[in-house]
Amino acid sequence: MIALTRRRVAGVLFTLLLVLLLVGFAALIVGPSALTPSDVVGALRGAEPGGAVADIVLRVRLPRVQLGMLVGASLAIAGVLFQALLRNPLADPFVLGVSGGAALGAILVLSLGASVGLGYAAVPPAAFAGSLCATVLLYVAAGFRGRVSATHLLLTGVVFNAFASAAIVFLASLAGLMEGARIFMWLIGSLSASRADMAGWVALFLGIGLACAIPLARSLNLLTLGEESAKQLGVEVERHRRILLVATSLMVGAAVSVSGLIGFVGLIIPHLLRLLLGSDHRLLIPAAGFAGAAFLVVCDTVARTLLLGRELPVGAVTAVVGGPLFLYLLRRHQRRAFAQ
Amino acid sequence: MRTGGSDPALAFEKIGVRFGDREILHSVSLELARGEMLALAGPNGSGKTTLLRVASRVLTASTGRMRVAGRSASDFSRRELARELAVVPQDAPIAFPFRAGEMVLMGRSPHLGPLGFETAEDVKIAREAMARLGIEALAERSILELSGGERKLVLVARALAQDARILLLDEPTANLDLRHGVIVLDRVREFVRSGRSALVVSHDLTLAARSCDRIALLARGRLVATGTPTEVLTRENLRATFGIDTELLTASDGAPVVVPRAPAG
Repeated sequence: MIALTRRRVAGVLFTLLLVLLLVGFAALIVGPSALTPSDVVGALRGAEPGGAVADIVLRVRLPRVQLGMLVGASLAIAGVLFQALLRNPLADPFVLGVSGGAALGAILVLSLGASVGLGYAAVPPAAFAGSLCATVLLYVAAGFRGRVSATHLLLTGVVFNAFASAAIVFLASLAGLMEGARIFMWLIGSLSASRADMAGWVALFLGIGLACAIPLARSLNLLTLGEESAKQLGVEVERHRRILLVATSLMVGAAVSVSGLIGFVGLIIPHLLRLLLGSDHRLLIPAAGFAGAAFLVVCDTVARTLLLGRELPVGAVTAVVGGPLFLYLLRRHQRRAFAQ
Repeated sequence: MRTGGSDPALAFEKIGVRFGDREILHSVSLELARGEMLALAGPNGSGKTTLLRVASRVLTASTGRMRVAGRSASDFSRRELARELAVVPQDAPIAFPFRAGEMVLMGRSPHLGPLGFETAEDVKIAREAMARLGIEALAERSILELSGGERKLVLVARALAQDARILLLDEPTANLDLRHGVIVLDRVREFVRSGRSALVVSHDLTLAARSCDRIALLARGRLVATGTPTEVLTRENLRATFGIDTELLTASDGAPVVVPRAPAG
């Protein structure tokens, strides 16, 4: 019998960290201006500060890679937590409208905040408030208590998304043409470096979320067995679930406030990791952090290099990968539901 | 808090449960002694599972109270209670493909710290629990691939690994073939031999009579009879409880055998 050990967790995380560093390094090399690995190493070491190469590496690419890692980690971990809380491998904050709630909160501040004296710094807390509201609404509408059918859950998410989109369109229209266009670009989900100054916020929210989630990882394993079984195995279900919901909302809020609606990361990464590593959340949660970070950096590198001279929003790249996977999972899920 | 006194392992004192207008349990008083294996039987919807849910405190009784080893159950934290009392549910819908071995190890949860990983000792306990039910070979299989009966055995192993003083089993032999049904009840029998106790909800009166010290009959939320199998399993009691005529035979070891006949007119 294989039990999860600290050694296995450390081994897996170390491997994923190496992958992440490699991906990050590659992302610093790749781009419109051709750089060599030694250029990048030199710039990182501080050779020739102020030079063109150092500028590209340290002021253009590095902030973006950092932001991509933080956002990717937040989205993937939020996906893992959400799927466990809802006891459904199809639950993704983006698909279920929680990201939409966060975007709505963020856009409220972006479009109307200036008139009441709120600056950009108010966006992350507003996005967190938005995602928390959406999560609570989802909780009430779909009910976390019993095991909710996937259909019910997804339909609730569709309605939330439709509502959030309508409200966002309304607010964007109010904001005027220029601002409105900017909001729409942001909605598709992009990691343009202009938001790199917000990386601190994302790191803070991610850190708080992790500090909540890691100690409850074993409880989360038990929560996937259902409320009653979890209680019978000693879990303070209500308290733990509340903490985990707040942690999820924090991470979604942080990611959305800097990068808009990047979808499917919270679906692709947890699914992949469950296949590779099993279902134990003591390993899944931290592993999703590293894997999500690496995945989003890869997607963003593709997004900014695929069309020469122009940039795709990274949300378009993740959706191209995630959409088909989602449909595949849905089909398999239905087949299994029939088989049971 | 493992008190070794003479208090019963588990005591229900006038437990009543209502859902809105519906009364599910009416003033049920029942004691589970130390070292006792007690069967709880009754027709569908008579409140057996509800009583088990009250016992594991996933449901709060509307009236009455429950004591565990003499101490009011509401004084226990969930973790403390889980160390006193392990539950084998009827079935567990499972969302993620945990392996059977991982599932059994989850029984060790109430004994671990918040960031804790299972120790070699925990693994040994879990492995022994699986071995006692003859399911070591399932350890690496995904729980989603197992049959209903195999999954049930995994749940029993998990409860044994939990190493509690009291076992609550909800239909442990449903889904199980004859051999495994007997194996499970024999393991529970072994479990109570060391001064621990078990409450077994079962539809199989013959199997219950063979293994349990006492049987409690529940009908429409009320306790109809409590006593040894031969005291309780009478034609009158069974007719009053199940509304069916029965023929009672005696097995060679003296245990009653219930043969159902036509529903009572």
